[in-house]
Amino acid sequence: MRKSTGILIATIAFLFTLQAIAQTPARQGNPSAIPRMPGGKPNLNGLWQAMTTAYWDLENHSAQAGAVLELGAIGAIPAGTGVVEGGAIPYKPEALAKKKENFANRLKLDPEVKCYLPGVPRATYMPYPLQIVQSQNDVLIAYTYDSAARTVLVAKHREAELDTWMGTSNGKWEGDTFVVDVTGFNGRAWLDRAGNFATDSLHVVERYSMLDANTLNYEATIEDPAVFTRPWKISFPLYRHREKGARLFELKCVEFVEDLVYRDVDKKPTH
Amino acid sequence: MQATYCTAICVISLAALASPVKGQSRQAIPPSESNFFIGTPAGWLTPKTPWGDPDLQGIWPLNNVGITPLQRCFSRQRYPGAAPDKIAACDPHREFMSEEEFKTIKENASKMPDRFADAAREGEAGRAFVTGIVDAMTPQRQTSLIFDPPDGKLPDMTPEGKRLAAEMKSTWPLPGENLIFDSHHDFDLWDRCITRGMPVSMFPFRYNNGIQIVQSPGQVVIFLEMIHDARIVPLNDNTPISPEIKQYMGISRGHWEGNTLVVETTNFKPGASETNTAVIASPAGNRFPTSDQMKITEKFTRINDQFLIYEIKTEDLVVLTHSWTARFPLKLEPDYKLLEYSCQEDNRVVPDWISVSRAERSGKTGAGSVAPRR
Amino acid sequence: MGRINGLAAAAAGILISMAPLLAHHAFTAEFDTKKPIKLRGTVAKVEMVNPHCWIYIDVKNDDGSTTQWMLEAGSPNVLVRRGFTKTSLPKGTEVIFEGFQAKDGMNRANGRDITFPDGKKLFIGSTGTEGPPEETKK
Repeated sequence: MRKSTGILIATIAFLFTLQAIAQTPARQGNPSAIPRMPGGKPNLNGLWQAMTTAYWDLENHSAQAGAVLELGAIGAIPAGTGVVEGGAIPYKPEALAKKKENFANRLKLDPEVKCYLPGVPRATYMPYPLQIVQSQNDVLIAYTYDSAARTVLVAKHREAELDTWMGTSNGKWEGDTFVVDVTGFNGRAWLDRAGNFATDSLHVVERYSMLDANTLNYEATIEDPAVFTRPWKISFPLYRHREKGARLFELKCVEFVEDLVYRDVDKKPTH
Repeated sequence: MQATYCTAICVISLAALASPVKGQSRQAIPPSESNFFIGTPAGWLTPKTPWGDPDLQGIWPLNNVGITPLQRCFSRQRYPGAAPDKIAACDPHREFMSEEEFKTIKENASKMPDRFADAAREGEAGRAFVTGIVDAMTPQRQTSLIFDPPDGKLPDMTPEGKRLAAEMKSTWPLPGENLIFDSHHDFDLWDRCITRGMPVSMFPFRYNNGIQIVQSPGQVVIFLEMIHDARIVPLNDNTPISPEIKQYMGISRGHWEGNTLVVETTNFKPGASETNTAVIASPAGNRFPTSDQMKITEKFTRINDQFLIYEIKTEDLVVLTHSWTARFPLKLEPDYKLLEYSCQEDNRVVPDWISVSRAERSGKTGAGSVAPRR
Repeated sequence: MGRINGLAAAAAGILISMAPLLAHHAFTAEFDTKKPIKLRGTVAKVEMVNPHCWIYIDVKNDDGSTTQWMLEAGSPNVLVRRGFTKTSLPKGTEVIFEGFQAKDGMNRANGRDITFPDGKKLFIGSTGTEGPPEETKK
């Protein structure tokens, strides 16, 4: 009698265990482990950084020499998997020609060289930390490079009244995903160091969703009918900085490029 | 020895607002010098964020005090044509105007022709564009932004401060100075679109005075419109940071003292001027140095739905013989549109001014064609 | 009125003298206020950028050639907050500019006013696609 009770109990326990396994979400990460704000929204606050080579080139690329001989291996470009879904950016033929021209003249033309504002989405995958400051309403994103920053308006959306480098950002929540609609670009920023670009008809929609407490999934849909044949998407994770006391520092790079930018204007040293 | 710049009433009033009230209704705090004549209604409690911190969020543009002089009884004797009788009449220890005087100031200000406001109101684009527009400014009853030293004046510089000042450059001349521009080093950090630095970024300018405070659990950000600076203030984070790491906006840490946000900033990279002539009654020339020993302590206390009292104390043993502290009210402007202020991207000051300076010195002017961009 | 407070005098003086001190640098150092100029041209482009907007106008010279001038304007942030945009000065608008030329002799200027050639003020909506009000039609 005891033996069959034992088997019964074991069977019931086994069945409960199976049920518990079935109920655990099978997707990557555990949503119940995501930190949440009071009110229930995912808490995106923190210091984050991408670990891709997208800042060099959004598309798949081999290792190659850099553009400045004297930098040697320090300026060399490492190989990397592209972050573009589908592989290639869908350029219109004339726009692709312009991209190649950009690349050929990148030292002169890349706004990053001159410490100009990076634009969106480029700011997200630059090789430096970014900080998300999420209140109960608006979300401010501050970037290391050039002290770039933008406020994503949540409570009260606003249309772009001025064409800018970083665009005008309006955000909303779709379930656990923070969706940011960015318009009003001045068309002067590049998308990476490979000459990929867009114009002032650029429209970017970003999606931020936490995979787990320390990983933020970033997606951006990029649309510009003047340049691309269709909208296209990039995606990659952002990883949380967990060093003790990790914080965003300044990279006020204007000062570091003045000798370059004012080379033709500054007084030459006298002989 | 602490310089007392607060009357006893001031201490009591702000302390009353600074401490959290536990469940009892609060009496109204009437307008007085201690709260810059901005009262707190009966029963008003500091709003809180959902995570329980006092809520200071919103846009508090600095032009609320845009026509209040930095220094009290600012001497015009440095400049030719100063009228001595007008200076002698000013009492350096009087922190606030009388009600009558303030009424006169407000009336005069409202009668002052504001070409820019008129142009804006009438939609007159031509004049608005070329003459430029400045932010609206509100007369305040305080006689200066500085309350300490008690005479409302900036403290003297140390000999080292004076030595550093003499090495500084700016497009703003000292009286009688004839400036020459030959390289980007002949300009100040603001002309060069690098930074306005501290403490001056927290003082009014002629335009783009927008400041937005955004809070999250454990952080406060003070975002400055010009030149797009997010001052990040982690709360209760005492992780030591090496003095080897220096930044123009320093490194800030914050904590709450009751309902007052206290922000302490150190680790400054010297180079910016501590004062700017855009703030009325500032020293000429933008040659007030800062050192890496500068320490700035700020306090933000909300006193009703619309106003907060802001205090900023600057200490620098290398440059200053004494600390100086400014206090003033800021007003919430929810409809103020904070817009991107890119600067370096289209800054012509350096090449244009060098071009003008060289033309003046050589007597040779350009061929007449538009100067090449960037 | 009683004694004049140094503050009141300073405040009054400053509000008046604020007019030329609109840039974050001194106006008179760059532009020759002793030699005012008057230009007639058409708006080629308006760049709404910081620290200064730039208005480009094509000026027809006596010999039939065209010279492009760049006119320094205020910060776009302030202009936008007051309701002005780049379409407030539409491309192709014929204008008169009164101001001062840069001391280096380049075709760069800053100044007082941009109006229609007949001197009428350039209001928002008085040019461009909305159609000019009757009195400003040439």
